[in-house]
Amino acid sequence: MAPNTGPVRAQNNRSGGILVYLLVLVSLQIFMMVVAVEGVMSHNASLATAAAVFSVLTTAMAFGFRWFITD
Amino acid sequence: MDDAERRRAADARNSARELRRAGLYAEDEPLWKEDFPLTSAGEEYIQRRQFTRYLLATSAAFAVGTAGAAAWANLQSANHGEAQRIVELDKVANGSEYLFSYPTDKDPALLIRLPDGELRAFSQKCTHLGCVVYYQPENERIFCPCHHGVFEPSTGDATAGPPERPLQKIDIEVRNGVVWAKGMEV
Ligand code: FES
Repeated sequence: MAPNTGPVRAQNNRSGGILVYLLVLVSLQIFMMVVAVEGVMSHNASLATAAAVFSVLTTAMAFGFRWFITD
Repeated sequence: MDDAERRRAADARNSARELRRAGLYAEDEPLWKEDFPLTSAGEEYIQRRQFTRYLLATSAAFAVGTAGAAAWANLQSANHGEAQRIVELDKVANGSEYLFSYPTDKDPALLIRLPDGELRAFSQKCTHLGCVVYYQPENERIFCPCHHGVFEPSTGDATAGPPERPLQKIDIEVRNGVVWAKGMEV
C-alpha cells in the first residue's frame, strides 16, 4: 500500500484563477502608477488624476473580490 | 495560532516526513523543508482568502502611491505664477533664446525671440517625459534631445516625435523695454 502522503493533488478542486487575478491586478496597478508618474512629469494633472481614480477603483474591486470568496 | 491551525501544521509536517521516507524527496533535500511544509501536499492549507489579504495590501499601497502622484500633479498645476521680470528686450537678439525660471526657481523656461522679432515664452519641460527642450533657430524649431521631439516655436505645438501635447505657454508682456512673465497659460 502506498504511504499516506496527504491529499492526492489530482483530487484538489483548485483553479489557476487566483494566479490570473494576481497577475492582472498587479500589472494594472503598476500600469496606473506609471501613467500617474507620467502625468506628474508632463504637468498633466488630469492624466494623473484619472490614473489615481482607476487605481482606487481597482483596489475597491480587489476588496470586493476578497469579500466574495469564502475560503 | 489556534489549535486547529497547529494541528494542520503538524499534519503537514508529518506529510513532509512521510514523503521523505517514501523517497519522494531527494536524499539531499534541505532540512528546512521539514519545518516549512509548504509542499504540494501541504499548500492547500493556505486559504485563498488569506492570500488575497496580501494582494489587497499590495493593491492599496499602489493606489496610495498613485493618488499621491495625482495630488502632486494637481498642486503643480495650481501654481500659475505671479508677474516676474525676465530680461531687457534688447538683450535678446532676433532668432535667439533666453533661459529663465518660471513660475518657481525649479521650473526652467524658455524665452524665444523669433527671427521677425516676435516674443514667445514656454516651459522648457518636454510634454513627453519632461526632458529639457531648447530652441534651434537654424532649423526653426524647438527640439527635445531625449526622443527627438519637435515643437513649433511660434505656437509651441508638437510637430514631430513622441510628444503629443504643446509646450506649456507663459504669458509675457513688454513694459518699458523689459520682458515680464505674467503667468502660465491654462
Ligand atoms: S522627453 Fe522629449 S521627446 Fe521624450
